[in-house]
Amino acid sequence: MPPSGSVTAWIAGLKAGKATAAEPLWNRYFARLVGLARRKLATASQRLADDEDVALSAFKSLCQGAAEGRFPQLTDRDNLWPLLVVLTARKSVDLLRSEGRSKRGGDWKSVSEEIERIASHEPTPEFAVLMNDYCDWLLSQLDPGPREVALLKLDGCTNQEAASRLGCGIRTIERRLELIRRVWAEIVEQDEAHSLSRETAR
Amino acid sequence: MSTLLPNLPPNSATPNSVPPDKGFSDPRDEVHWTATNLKQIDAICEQFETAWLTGKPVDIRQVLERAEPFLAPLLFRELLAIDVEYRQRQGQSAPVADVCLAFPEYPDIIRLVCSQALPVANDDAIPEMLVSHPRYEVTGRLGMGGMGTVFAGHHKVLGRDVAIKVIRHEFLASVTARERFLREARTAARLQHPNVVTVYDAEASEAGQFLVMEAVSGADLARTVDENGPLPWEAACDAILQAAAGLEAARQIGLVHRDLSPRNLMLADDGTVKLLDFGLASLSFGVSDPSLVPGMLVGSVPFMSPEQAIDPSASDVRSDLYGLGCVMFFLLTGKPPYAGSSLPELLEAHRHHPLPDARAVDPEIPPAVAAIICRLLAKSPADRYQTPSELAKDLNHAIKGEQPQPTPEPPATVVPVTVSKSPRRSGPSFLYAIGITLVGIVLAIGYRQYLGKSGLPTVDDSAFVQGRSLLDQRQERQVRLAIVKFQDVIARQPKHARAYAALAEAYNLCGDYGWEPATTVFPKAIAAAHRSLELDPDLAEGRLDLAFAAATYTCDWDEADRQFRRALEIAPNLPSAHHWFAWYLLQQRHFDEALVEIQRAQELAPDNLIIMSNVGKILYFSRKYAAAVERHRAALELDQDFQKGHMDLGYTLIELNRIDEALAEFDRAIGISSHDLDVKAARAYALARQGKKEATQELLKILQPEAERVGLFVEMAHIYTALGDSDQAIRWLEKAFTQKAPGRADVGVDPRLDPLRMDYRFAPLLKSIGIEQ
Repeated sequence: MPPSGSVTAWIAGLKAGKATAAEPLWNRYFARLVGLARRKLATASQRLADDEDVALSAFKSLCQGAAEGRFPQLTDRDNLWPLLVVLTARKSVDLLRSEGRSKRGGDWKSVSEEIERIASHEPTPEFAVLMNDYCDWLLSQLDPGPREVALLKLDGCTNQEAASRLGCGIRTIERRLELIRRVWAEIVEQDEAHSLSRETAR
Repeated sequence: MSTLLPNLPPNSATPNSVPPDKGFSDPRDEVHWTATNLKQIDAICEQFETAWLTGKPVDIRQVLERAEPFLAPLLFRELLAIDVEYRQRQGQSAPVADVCLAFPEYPDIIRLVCSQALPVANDDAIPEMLVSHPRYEVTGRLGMGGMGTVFAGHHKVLGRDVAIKVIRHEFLASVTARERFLREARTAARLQHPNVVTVYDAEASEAGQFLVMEAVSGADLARTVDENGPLPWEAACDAILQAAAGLEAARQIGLVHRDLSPRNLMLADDGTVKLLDFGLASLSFGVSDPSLVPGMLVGSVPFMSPEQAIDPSASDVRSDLYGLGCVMFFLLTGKPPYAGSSLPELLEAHRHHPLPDARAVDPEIPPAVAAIICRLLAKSPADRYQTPSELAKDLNHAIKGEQPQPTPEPPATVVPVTVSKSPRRSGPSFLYAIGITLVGIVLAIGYRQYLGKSGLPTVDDSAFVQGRSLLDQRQERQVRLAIVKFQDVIARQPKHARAYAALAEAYNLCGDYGWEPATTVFPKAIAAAHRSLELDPDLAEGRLDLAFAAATYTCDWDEADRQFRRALEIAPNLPSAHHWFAWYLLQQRHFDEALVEIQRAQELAPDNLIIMSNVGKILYFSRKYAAAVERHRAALELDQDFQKGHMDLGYTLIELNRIDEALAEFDRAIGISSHDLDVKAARAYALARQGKKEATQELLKILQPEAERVGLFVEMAHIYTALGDSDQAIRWLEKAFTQKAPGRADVGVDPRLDPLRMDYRFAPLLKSIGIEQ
């Protein structure tokens, strides 16, 4: 059994649908990620003439929310950022392993240990790049309605603010957040099944 | 002793009761919802919400019927949550009673959604009397319960944190209720015990009322079990042992809780269990708004003792012990001992069903603990522990793994049904219980008095009693549901005269309110009434139904007169007989007699809102406008959401030339029910009386195409009369008469049609229904 408070426990919690589980991780990552996101966006906007692409970016939302001081503390269990950090950590382990770069001494560390290792350090610029792309991809997997909710939440809006911006009920925000988590959870499950079959094939 | 409780997630920031986790999936659901399921539900919910946003809310049942059956429970929960949220935005309370009756299959979901329903946080929700209070400062909102909202507060002088429960106005509308509240608070404040949430202070005035309590950081036991599942038996015993200590302290100063449920047991972060809301349950005895009572009962009935169901005010510490037994069962198994899809079923189960064995749910529970539950849940108070200390003794033994001390009559593991029946409390008194909780408290106090005189219904009558209470709510949905109930009763008991009569009454109401076309529904009413009288010629209700149909539909005045007088002969104290007879007298232009009759009805049923408002209406038709205004205001004081009350008050104010005030009343009537066309018609009439022809025409554009469909004939005639267009007015009146619209019998006395009376076409219309001008 992993000690509670470890990243592995957070991930187990995430699978059980408890987004608060990832909060400590997010708190560790927040400041650094905002900085990385700013730099990332600066280069992105030079390169990308198409501003809309940036507007739909998760990192853009992160910067906006931070600039407006909307992340004082993340006690809001409906916050999606901690979830995204954990999902990205998972993804990066998966990528590392498929590239065979983390193979040390011929033996594979367990996925959870790898995630633990990534999460116990400050995020690297590479992690930020990966996160940017992966989050945007996750966003693109949502239908327009839930995606709007996701972006406002990544912006640091409370459920009530999101509801009044979208002109809908608070219940609708709650319902869509649950839907978003489910959609992402299924992506992760598929990913996991995929990498498992890859490992068995090896 | 608290160390036996499980480690719960820290809840330090959430003192007292806070709504549990919200969200799509219910942790207790066995079903695994896929993203595809959730997307389907999301799409349906989006449409449902759009309907609300465009002002045309759709019926939940309709939506459910179109969806795939396996999605129904989750979909219902989401739809209900949206529905409740939008109702609250319009300042309406959650329609708990309606929903419970319409969806008996989902009691848990309803309880969950309605308990989570918090009003959209807005500052004006903090009652004015607390905004700049000399001692208290509100620092946040903790949650909402049946009695009112709980705020986190701070005592400015003493510097301590408190919880402030603001009691909803409906509970304390009268001076006597406020006095009772303060008396209960005084008694509760004498109770100082670690296992009781201490009451510090109370305030009650016309402006509002609140109770100040110790702030407890933790969660209630309902939430604890909902989130973490049943407690290990040792922890459950420990919690009950603590509660018993609190109850014993209360007993010693003569205080009874009366509403023990897991929601009223707080589990503090340090593991201490504290009893909440001592004595508050008695406030519900005098509630004027009937919709509140079933709502409050939703949470409590699964934990209510049989004797409390018979008379909620006559209960002692042994009733509390029964409640505690139910809580114990809940802590151990995650469920209350008895389930039922309706209130009467649940009450019936408490009275007669054998106790389910907790060990069947969880074999880990030691027999000694199961035996304690059996003793607590004995049907007769005499078979239970007589004091909380007795219970504590057995609990201590059980926790130490010893057998309980032998008792004079050792309880069996499962109480057999025969033990539960005490000869003095047989069937009829149980039904009388439902009579009190549903029919009595809810509405028809007069009807109960009448029942009391002419014999109580038999045990099989719960569906009938239910139907009656639905009928008395005078709302479309409830009345339609009542029709189904009565048809049910008749299918099972084809000789049930009173069910036929009630069915006839339901049809009469559908016709009178225009929910069904008069020409189809009144003949059904007449047929059902005749059938009831074939079975029992001396049935007052059957006579009354015939009289009503004769006065409202066939306009056969001789028949009406005959049947009314016969009904009153049989049942001189039946409020509805006097009520309808008054209308008949009014239509016959016997204004003074009408007033005497309606006042008699009111004496017999002083809390009946409909009768009270009709006193005002009869005064209006008698041209006594100032007195009418007074009556309508009194009715509205009882229930601000009484749509008809606002309308009638508005119409009366117009006759007093206070048209702006009238328009304000009509504004208040908007959105209370789905019958907003009536309100629009009223607005159009007011504007026409003000001479605002253009604005009136604008509204007529909306009304004209709908008026015929929903039968607003007489209302259209009012508007055209006020516009001075007699041709159109007469045309609409002719429609009312050819289609036998129910309002046509009132035309002869309607002040709004006074300008038409000299028209040569007016008198013949009235003559066609046998009324001479």
